[in-house]
Amino acid sequence: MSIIKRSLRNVMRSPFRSMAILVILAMSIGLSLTMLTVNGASESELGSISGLVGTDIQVSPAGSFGPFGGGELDEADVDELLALENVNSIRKSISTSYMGGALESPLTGRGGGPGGGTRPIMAMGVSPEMDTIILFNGGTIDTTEAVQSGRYFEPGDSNADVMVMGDGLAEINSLSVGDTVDIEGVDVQIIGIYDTGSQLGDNMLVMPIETAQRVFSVDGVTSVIIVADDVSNVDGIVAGIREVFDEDTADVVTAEDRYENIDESLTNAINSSQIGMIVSFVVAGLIILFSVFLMMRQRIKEIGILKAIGASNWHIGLQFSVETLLISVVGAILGALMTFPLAQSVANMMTGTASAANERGGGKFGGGTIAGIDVAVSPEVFLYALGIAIALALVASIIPALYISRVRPAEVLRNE
Amino acid sequence: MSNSNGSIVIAKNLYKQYKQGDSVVSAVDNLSVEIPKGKLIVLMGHSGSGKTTFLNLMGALDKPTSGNIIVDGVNLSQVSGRQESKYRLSKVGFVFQSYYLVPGLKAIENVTLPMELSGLNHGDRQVKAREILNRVGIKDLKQSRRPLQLSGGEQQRVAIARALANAPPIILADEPTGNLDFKTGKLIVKILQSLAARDNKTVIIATHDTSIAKIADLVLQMEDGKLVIN
Repeated sequence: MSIIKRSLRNVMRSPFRSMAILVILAMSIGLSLTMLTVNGASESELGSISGLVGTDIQVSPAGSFGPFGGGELDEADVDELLALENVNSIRKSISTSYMGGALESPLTGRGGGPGGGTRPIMAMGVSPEMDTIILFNGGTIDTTEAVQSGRYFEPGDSNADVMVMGDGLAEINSLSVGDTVDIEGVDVQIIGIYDTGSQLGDNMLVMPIETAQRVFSVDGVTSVIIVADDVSNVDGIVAGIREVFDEDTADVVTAEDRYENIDESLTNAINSSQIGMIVSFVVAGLIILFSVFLMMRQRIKEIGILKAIGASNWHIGLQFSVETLLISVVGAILGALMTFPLAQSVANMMTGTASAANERGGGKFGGGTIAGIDVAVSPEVFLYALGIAIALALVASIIPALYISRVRPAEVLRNE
Repeated sequence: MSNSNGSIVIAKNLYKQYKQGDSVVSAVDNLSVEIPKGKLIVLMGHSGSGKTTFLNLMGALDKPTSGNIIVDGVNLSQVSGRQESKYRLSKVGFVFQSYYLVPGLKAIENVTLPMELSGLNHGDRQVKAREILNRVGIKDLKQSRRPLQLSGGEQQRVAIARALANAPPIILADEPTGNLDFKTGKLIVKILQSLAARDNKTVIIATHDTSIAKIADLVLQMEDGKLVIN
């Protein structure tokens, strides 16, 4: 009979004990793998955020939050910023809310009276040459990926009566590419429909900035992104901006400021997951050591019998090590399976976001001030699990190696 | 391999001492004896007389404190580790009062286990184990039962079969009938007796049952670790 078959039978001899050990072991290995996964995802997210922390400086009317409050910045003053040293480019945009009757919002919310009122539709005006639309909450829409039908703006669309629209807004209003909508008395044609996967992004319409200023009667701009030629020049440019706009007129936020919170929570997540990983791995090690020790104590007579019939210490040690390896491998596989439903929840818990992935809407609508990690558990986790199982079995095999050689069959088989 | 005069066990000035609190107890006390090959030997004595300890020393389950014990040409005072395991695997077969079968294994697996340890292939192990089990009266379905599904007498027969697995020249039996009723005990003794008579094995039985002594070729009487009658 093969040693594996015999080991399996020995494990099954005490099904309740084996099951209890397996459950506890699987939980600690699962936690260890979850922490490993979260750690990897956090480090990768931190790396990509570090890449984003670059040369962007956002200037918006003081006290404003997107289309809400704060008024506009004077466009002539904004154009002055282009003259600042080390400024590469300026991207202007406006955000406003459209409450007209031509379009119905897919969102309902508070304050709309009985049955839930309709929320305003967010409208933005952007430079047609901007590939990425930066939302008021810091999120972004990558137009090259998000546009599902039709097209995005081209430089020639400047001041044309055209717009792109979120698919949520288009769907509820039964609109498609080529349709025209009367907005504030102007017939604006839909040239593209995009999908961000987020409710906020998909309840929006976007026009070229000059069109939006004309249609919504907005003087000036509500947001300016100034791009510095180098990260080291950001502080100097901020000082220059402050000479044009004082603190009562404009808020100035650098990319570093925007990502500070995320950076902090991700760093916390990395640190916590590292500690969690080590602790749960140590716990798993202690569990397996304890269970092997218990197993040896309970089966000391069996060790004596095996020795009496001629089994060497190596033979007996191998038997116990295979049993331990079997338990570890099964525990590790169960632990790895636990990682799939656990990892995202643990990551959210660690970064303090309830459902970061949903809020961020995946890759097309990411970044900004929402500190979430999209944790994808890869099948590689099973390889890590196998590694952990083998490591645990190796650690645990120290006990049989030490214990078996000390067992004298005459002593353990005496007195029955 | 026995020595020239046909002794398979030669013990000279053998001591085995244990510490009991502050005092030292001699379980085997200056024992010198030669045991002939191919005979049924009975070690008689009361509890604590040292017969089990002497049996354990012959089986290399224990180490002598001093003195020499040579079994089938192997000086057990000088072997340890792997050699000791090899000795137990090939030279002796143990039969215990409490049978001591491996509980998780079937009867036949208990018998094939020593063969597996000595490297015999699976097919040969099965054939040989069935043959031995049949000989001791464990047949057909009972060979596939686990120890707890067998009666005491049946378990002891499986234990004898296991002791015979690697065809050792010596069988050491410690109170083999101690847990059995009279009738079953007689059957077990008969099997052990036939091993000496038919197979030329040296069977050494430690017991305080005088009825077994009557069929022995040689009776060794022990008292306080010493041999009193040879």
